[in-house]
Amino acid sequence: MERVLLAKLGLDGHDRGLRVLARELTTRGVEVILLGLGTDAEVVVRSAVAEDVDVIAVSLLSGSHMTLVPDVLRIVADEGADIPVVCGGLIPRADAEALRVAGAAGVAAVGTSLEQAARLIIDVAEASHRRRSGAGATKP
Amino acid sequence: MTQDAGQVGVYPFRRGHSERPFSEAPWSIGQYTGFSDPADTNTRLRDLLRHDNQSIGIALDLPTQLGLNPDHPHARGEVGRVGVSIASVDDLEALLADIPLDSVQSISTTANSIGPMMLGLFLALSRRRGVDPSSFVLRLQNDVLKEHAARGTQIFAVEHGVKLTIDVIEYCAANIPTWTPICISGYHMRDAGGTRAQELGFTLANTREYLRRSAERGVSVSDLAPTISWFLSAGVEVLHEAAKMRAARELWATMLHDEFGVRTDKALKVHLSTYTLGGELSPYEITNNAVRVGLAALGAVLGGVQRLTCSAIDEAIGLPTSETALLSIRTQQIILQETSVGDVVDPLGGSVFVEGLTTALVDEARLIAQSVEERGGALNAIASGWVREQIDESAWQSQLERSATPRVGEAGATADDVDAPSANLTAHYESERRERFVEWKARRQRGPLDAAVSRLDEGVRSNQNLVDLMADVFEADGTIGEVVDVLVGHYELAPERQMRRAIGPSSHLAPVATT
Repeated sequence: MERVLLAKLGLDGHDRGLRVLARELTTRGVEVILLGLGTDAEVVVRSAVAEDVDVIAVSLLSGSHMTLVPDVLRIVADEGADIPVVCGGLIPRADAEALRVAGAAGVAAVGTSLEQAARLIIDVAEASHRRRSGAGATKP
Repeated sequence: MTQDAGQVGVYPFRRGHSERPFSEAPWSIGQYTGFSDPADTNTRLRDLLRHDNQSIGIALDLPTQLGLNPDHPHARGEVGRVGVSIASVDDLEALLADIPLDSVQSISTTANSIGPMMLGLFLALSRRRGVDPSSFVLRLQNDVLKEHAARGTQIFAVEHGVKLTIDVIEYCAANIPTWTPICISGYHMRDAGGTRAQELGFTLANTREYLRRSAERGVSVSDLAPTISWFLSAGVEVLHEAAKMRAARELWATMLHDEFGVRTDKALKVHLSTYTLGGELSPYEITNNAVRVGLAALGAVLGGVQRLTCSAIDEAIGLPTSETALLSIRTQQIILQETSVGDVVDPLGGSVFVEGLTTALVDEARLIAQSVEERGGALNAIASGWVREQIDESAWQSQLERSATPRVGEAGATADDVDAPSANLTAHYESERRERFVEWKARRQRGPLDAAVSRLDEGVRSNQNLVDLMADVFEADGTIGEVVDVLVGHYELAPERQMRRAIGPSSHLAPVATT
């Protein structure tokens, strides 16, 4: 089973979307670790490593994504953690492209539906899970 | 077909507070704005005031709302983003430069966990400008219960947060009874996914908690009630939302009458402050949102609210522009001046459909408030997570409905169909603000400030009302962050704030000033 870490990154308290997404992923058979509010890049990456998740998914509605998402990517690289990072929220398309170039495995830009966001995370998680459980391993 | 719905201006006020229609006594038109620097926001505020805007609502950035100065490591990336960055009286002075405080109907802010700090800042500003605080009107949101339940800017554990909220209520009741010490907010619980009935029911339950705790401090509920507002959302379902406002009046009046023994009409009439519901706006074809906001505003007006603020049509994709901010004011002016709906009080009164909706909402909200009571009251029901579970379940149900029935212009749309936001912060804003702030801090005189901070620390230890002590710190050029740091030494933090404090500033990140 794929494991996903979901977190609000930064100070933003609007977590309706993230909580609904958590439920959507759970109903689709994904194991969700919901870290909730009040995290920063360091907390998110440490938790992801400790929980051995297949993907980190962070939500930001406060406009701080161009600072905080690269923080997460940098710490993942520093830690040598093999965990892809997906982000979503109030992210304009131009920023979404820049974040993909910076190394985000996926960006659910503003206007992404719940179903599309869930699909994006599951696709990244499945690929990560296969890779992390060794070449040739099949998806359960 | 009509139904007997009681009389206008008579308890329990379902049909309205007064026989005077809006055409004679208009509702108060609000505007919510704030971004980046105090000086930038000042320019926008003065521009809006030129267009007959009567009152101003100041949006604060997240570090400010959470008591973090702009140079705090946890403020990284967030300074000036969702509102203006305010840390000191000098910042507040710059924000309100060339705006005489008594020239506007009211000034409101989204200070909640920092409610007493914002009150202290305005007291310090009054002293500095040499004006009597009673010469202008400050409206504080100051509602931490709903932060824990839905909005997410809690700093302290709920018991300590509520202590600070009640400090503001107690202080204003004794010293400045013309200010609004709290706007008890259903809006955010609705925007987090709650139903209309939950919005009303949880607001009612939170009100009960605040009134009881205020009474325990010796505040007269009859004197306090007329100074409080309820802050509710206005969605696009015009008739349902109008019914909600009618139900709100009845719920407030009956609870204060039956449970708190209030008998004066003035105290039994709830002041309804409303804001069109942000979650109703679509990121696609954003011009359509002008229609949605207009209809939401119409519902609030038909429901007879005292104050209304309209969303900017582009807020679903980014920071509003000056054009879309002006449209929010113009929308209300058109309804007030061109539609004639304000010529009569409670135009929907007696409609079988609307009266039925109103009664159903009153009944359901009372049951919800009763469920909260059975869980030990609002504070306990929120702290245990029960309230949020109820809201989450509604959010899930409404998501299922939205997936089955997309809004107009949304079927099949993707992120590729969303326009780029036209307004944006300059990339260097945060580092500039931080550098200026650090320089300013270094120029301060430490003596008077340290003395004021010590007195505040002693006040916290001895469990005093902290408002005046905070005002003294601000008058000595103290900052919101420094005041919060004093409290952090004594109060338990909210669980949401404990993770990062435990870990401390990241060792992985470059010093923030080089961003």
